[in-house]
Amino acid sequence: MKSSNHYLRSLTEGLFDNNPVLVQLLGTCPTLAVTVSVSNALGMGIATTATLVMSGLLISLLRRFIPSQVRIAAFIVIISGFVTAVELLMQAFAFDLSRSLGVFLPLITVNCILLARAEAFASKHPPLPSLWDGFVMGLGFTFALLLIGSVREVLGNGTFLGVRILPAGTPAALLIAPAGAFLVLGTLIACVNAIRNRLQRKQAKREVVNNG
Amino acid sequence: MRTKVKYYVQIAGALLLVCTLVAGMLAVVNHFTKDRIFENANAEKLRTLRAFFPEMTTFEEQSSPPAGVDSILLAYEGQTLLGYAVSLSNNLGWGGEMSLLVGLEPDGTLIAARVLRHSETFLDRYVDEEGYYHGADRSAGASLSHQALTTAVATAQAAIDGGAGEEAKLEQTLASYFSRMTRFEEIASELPGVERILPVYRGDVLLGYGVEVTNSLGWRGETTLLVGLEPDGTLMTARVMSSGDTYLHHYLDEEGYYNGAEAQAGATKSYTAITTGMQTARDAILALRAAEVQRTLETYFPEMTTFEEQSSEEEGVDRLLLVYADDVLLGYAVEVTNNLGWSGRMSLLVGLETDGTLIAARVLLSADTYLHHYLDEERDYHGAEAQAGATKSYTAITTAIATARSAVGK
Repeated sequence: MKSSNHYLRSLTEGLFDNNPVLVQLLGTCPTLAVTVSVSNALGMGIATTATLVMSGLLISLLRRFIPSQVRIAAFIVIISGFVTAVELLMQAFAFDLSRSLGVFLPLITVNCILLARAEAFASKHPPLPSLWDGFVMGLGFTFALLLIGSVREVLGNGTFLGVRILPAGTPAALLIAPAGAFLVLGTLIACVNAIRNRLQRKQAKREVVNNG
Repeated sequence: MRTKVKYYVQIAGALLLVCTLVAGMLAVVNHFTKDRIFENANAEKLRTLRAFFPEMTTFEEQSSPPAGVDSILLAYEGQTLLGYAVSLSNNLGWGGEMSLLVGLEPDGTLIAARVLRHSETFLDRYVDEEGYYHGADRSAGASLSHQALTTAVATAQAAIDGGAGEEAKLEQTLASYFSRMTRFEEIASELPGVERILPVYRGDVLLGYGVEVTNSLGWRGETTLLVGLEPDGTLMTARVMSSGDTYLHHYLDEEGYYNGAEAQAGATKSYTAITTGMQTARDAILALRAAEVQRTLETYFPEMTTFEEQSSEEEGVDRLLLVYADDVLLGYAVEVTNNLGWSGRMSLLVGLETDGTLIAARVLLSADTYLHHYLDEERDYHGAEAQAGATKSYTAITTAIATARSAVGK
């Protein structure tokens, strides 16, 4: 059993240091497409997290039964199965959200974060850490989507979660357009890199001092 | 060899296990969500229908939609048809199947089409945030989505042109004549100029008839009318369903109903077409009723060869018929009308033997609701006792029989 400290560390890892969208640059397709509003970003994040957690758990449980020659096929079947389940559940219990996510909901299947985590983590680790990894990565994905979605909705549409906070007419409508998604994502990645570089430099300095 | 077999079995087994697990999981999820998803989809359809037709008070579904569409919904404000919503799907989009609800005015003009389900990535070029398509132009890079949308609209328009629209107009017209209508039947007719006779019912009670007639008496081409008549053949009104005449507005209101105007100079042919059509319809109903009297006589007096009509002074007697087999008098058939029924007027054909014994009395016209207490399937009365809750019908029937007896002097 790993210490709770370890789990906490992997949480910051998923959210910042190794964020799937902002650092690993995985799953940019849904990121760019659905982040026109905060509610879409949140819905997409939750749906993806649920799929990550469930598929991570099942793949980890089955990791000894699945021969490596067919592992990709098996992972994709499991992932698409959970995506379909999430889609059905959303159609039943969050109908409007499932409508506004539209085709991007089933497209979670081909979000490479899922296959990447299945291949890199769940297929090599026991169930509990795999479940936690799925959750952390999902959280990181949701966090990134929310960040981009907030910027785009507030500046592009003048609203947050549908509530108007900027006077109508002022917003930069470009940010709602597809090009705006690239601009916001690029700017955020630049910011995150700047912060990470600074932290690394600080840490390197500290190590020099400690060793020194 | 052995290890190779083992290898394939292992791989196939693993894939089978994974697929079974996933399929089982999906079966469970589907079981718990399918009803709600169905309800959600229906609620969505209804919301869309209200968005197409904000004034809508009721809607109904066309019973047999034409091929190529899933269903046709007719939206009404009271009795007025506001338009159609055609539900259909096609496979022409870039991402495969697309499901739509197409809103059309009664003449087929597009109100909007709402995409309910799709797998297109660039659909937002054509539809607004709510998924409504208002006829946007084709945009480069997304021409398949556009093709799917325009084809769906064209299919919907063809579907309401191909009979659905006409049948809906017919049904709506009948409902405007008989506001209590719950159903109508269709009788083909051999009579010249009569397309079909439509008896209109509330449950089992005959409310009247709609008769579709066509003639070539108009100024230009054929005139088709739907004439409304009471059960005894009294003319109510008529609606022109189609005509090529240009001065019809002299005789019709905005919705095409005959307003009762007299012939107008310059448009006499249209007048002749309308009034002759109404007369044709009336003759058709009278013939229908005469045939029923004839059929009834034949069941009461199987040996009948002829019958003759005699005048009667008795009040309430419409006709007194003497029935013969060659020269031998078999009995009497008396058509009696009184106002004693629960719903008012009741007409019967009373069959009496020569000594005045009741053979049976057939109810020809009545709107009473509990007549089934007294009548058999042929609507014949054979002497049943009065039933609580339906005494008025009983009084009407027995009084009519007494009237008939006194008319023949028994």
